[in-house]
Amino acid sequence: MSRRYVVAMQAYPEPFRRQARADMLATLHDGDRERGHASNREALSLLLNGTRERFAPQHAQSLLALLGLVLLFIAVAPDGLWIVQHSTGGPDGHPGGVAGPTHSEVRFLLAAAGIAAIAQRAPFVACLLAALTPYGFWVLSGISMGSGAGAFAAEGSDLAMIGLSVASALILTALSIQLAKRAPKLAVTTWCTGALWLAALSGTAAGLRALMLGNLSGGRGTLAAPVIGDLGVAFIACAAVLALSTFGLAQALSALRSAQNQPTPTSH
Amino acid sequence: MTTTTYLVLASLLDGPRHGYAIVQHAATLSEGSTRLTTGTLYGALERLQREGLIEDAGQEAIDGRLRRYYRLTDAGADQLREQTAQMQRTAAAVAPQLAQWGLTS
Repeated sequence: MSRRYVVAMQAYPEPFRRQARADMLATLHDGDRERGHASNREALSLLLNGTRERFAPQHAQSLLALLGLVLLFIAVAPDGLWIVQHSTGGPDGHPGGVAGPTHSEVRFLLAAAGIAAIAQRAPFVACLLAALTPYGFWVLSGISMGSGAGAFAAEGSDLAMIGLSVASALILTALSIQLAKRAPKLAVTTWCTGALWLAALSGTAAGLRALMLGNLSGGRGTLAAPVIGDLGVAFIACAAVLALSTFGLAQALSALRSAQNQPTPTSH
Repeated sequence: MTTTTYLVLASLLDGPRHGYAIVQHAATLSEGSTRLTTGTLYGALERLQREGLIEDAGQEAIDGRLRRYYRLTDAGADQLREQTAQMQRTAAAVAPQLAQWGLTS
């Protein structure tokens, strides 16, 4: 078997390889035997299709979860930085580079997108984050450690707050159903997707409102703002949520399509 | 439905086939115009299985290599029939226009 096939197959996600590797190698072997030589076209096709599979909804959860963690970190890290630097006493109480926690729909947007992405891979962890993060910020706000508790306790972020709370509740419900095993997998998938959609839509609404009102001060609260500007942060946040929403929709459609076809287990 | 999907489903119409047999039969059905690569084929097979249009029909070791067989489900056969009918209707609508412009072969 040509070494280039084996190398090119590394482009596929591990679950796909585990399922189909032996069968694919047999098919490649048959083709090579008929041609009399290994094929560059086959190797290139493996590389391209493997890469595409890696980013397909059903295999991209790990990548998305990682992206989600990064987004969440970008959203909440400024509060942590501000608290640490403020407690050590800056010249004016506000550390340079980080303007201090601020009321920010933009940061909510980043956090909501992050949590939604994590939920694709680890719904229980996402649920905990969705429930604990706003509460943690609220507590910090209450004891004046980071007025911003930012995105979540911000004045005017009520819509976003409600969205996140509802999403959290729905994810919990879906997990309960899954644990009880009283519903087919589709029901859980649909509930989770619906919950993420709600979170994403409410976050998008809050973010768009901030953009339309020109209320971009929250962008200062993100680590990326010094590099790409407040507006850049806001647009990236909207794009992230939009991408995740699209992903959720694609997954929901795929699940529905499968469900429509599943009730026919008999072969032709 | 893409040409690849259509050919894969059509290749399973007369019974279960393994990967390379599908490649060969698809080439025959398309009169050699479509030669599925292994990467394209297994991407389609995975998707079609997920959508319930085909299913695993067992595996068999031939010459020391494992071959998995796939077969059409009722849902897959339905989709194949609908797609074929759609293509026939489209072709029937286009054919008179081709004749009108003297483009028939």
